[in-house]
Amino acid sequence: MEYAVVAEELRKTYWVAEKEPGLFGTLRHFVRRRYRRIEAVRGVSFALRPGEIVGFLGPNGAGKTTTLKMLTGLLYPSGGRAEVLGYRPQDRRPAFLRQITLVMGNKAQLLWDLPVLDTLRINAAVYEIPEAEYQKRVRRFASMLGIEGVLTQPVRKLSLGERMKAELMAALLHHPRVLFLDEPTLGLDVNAQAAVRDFVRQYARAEGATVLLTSHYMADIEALAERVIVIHEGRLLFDGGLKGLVERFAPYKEVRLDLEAPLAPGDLAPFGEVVELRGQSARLLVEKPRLTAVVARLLAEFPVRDLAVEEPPLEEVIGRVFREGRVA
Amino acid sequence: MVRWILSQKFLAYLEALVAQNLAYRGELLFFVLAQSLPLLFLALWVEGGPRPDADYARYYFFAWLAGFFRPTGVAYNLGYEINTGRLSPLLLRPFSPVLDHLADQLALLLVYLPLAMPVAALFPALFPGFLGGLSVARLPGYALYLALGFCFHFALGWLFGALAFFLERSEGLLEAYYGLLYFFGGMTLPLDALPPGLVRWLGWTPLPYLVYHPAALAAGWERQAGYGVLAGWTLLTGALAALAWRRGLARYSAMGA
Repeated sequence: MEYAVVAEELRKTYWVAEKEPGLFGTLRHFVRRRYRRIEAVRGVSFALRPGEIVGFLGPNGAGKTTTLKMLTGLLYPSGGRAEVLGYRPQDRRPAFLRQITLVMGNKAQLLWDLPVLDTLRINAAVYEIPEAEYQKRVRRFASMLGIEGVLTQPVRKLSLGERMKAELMAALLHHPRVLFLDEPTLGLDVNAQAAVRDFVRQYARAEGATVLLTSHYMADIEALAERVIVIHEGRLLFDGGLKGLVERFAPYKEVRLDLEAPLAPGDLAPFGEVVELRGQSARLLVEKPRLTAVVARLLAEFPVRDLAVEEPPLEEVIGRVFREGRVA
Repeated sequence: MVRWILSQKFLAYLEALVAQNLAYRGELLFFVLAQSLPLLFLALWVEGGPRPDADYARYYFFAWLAGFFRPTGVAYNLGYEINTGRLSPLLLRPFSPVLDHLADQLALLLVYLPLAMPVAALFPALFPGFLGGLSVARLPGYALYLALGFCFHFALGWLFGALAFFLERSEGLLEAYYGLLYFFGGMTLPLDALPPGLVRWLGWTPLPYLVYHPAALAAGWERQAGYGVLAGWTLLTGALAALAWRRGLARYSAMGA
């Protein structure tokens, strides 16, 4: 199979009832409903090869989750074509569902009042995992995630990080070949984020799984994905390597300055875009062609204690892409 | 799917669901209490009805027991899942969420029935002659009514639940249905207390075969069998539910999940 996941001119349109506030609005809404058409996804196309880990980026409301839901068969596309492992997702064939998983960082599939092991046991029954294999997978995943000690506790008693790790265990117990991960590290502390990232990376490597990952934490994307797909307002903005994204949307470098004396606002404006100015420290973005000249002038005109030139943080690049809404 | 239901794995799944339901001890008690409506009416009829007390005791005992075989909770659960998007994880499993709900309702039955046994044991003590009118020969007919009633109510719950794809709140339909069942199904009063013309007309609906006929049969009040009518309604309701479910899935917005 050449591609594990294919989206071709994928579209999704919703009709949403609109209501004015207040009593009058309520009465009018009761008598006559008004609907608005929302185009959540407007012809998105991409394809993922087996074993690829791809970051799926976009601001809130860009259509990421809607696309994931179409690719997992939860939503019927309004147009275009989706194909995962050779199946049409919306047919929801058991053979297809056995090979995929969707993890949503803000939603739980674990049984709230029961220990994690009870949900795992249900999943083992659902996916017909033999007992010995089930025990082996539970031991392996729990050890990889470092949650051996909490599996017998009710889910409601777990910390957010422990819960997310347990969610991942439950979602991957049946060894899916395609993982759709929607904000799997949402709200987790740095250590838990790193643990989740490591787990996903190890799993994908060991099983040769294809991963489509959305995250607002660029560290997730940088750590896991070599390729990123960026969508904005339901349209594809970029599809390519992380490096290419930076080169394409960030034709500038970040210059970090540490000075002997504080600067006045406006002192650095002629040199580039001042991102941050805090007393004696400053960060500014300088277009690449001007970089050498700007650095030379900065060193000549200001009492520089330290100067560093770096690639701008990915968050900033992405933010810039979204603000400008540039289309690929 | 049939293979899965018949497999050992289904038993493991059922076992896990029983464990899940047993986690809610308070709710279990309330459910058993909520089934006690026929027992309240038993108290009224024993005071003023024309039949001997033991007759009413037998009738309302079996009417009460039939209440445990009404898995309409599936309508509330499905409606909630559809409205909140909690249906999504169930849709990702390699079998229909409807079967998941069926397994859950069977698991509930396994939990509730043992809880009902202590109450059942009180009847012979409270009503002398209760056991005298019982006949084991009538129990298979009663059990068949219960099995058909379980299937009918599950299909009805599935239908009302699936309507949540189209209506924002579908639970109201179930409330309206229960209003009819209370009065025309034989829960509040044996149907022979109603005008014969009305009872004849009700015979074409599923209502009397869900409480009155099974309870009257088991209590020893001879009644004609209505299995065919109930089976027909079950098939019709199941077909409508399947249609609403299939059409509804295409409209599902998966909001909230």
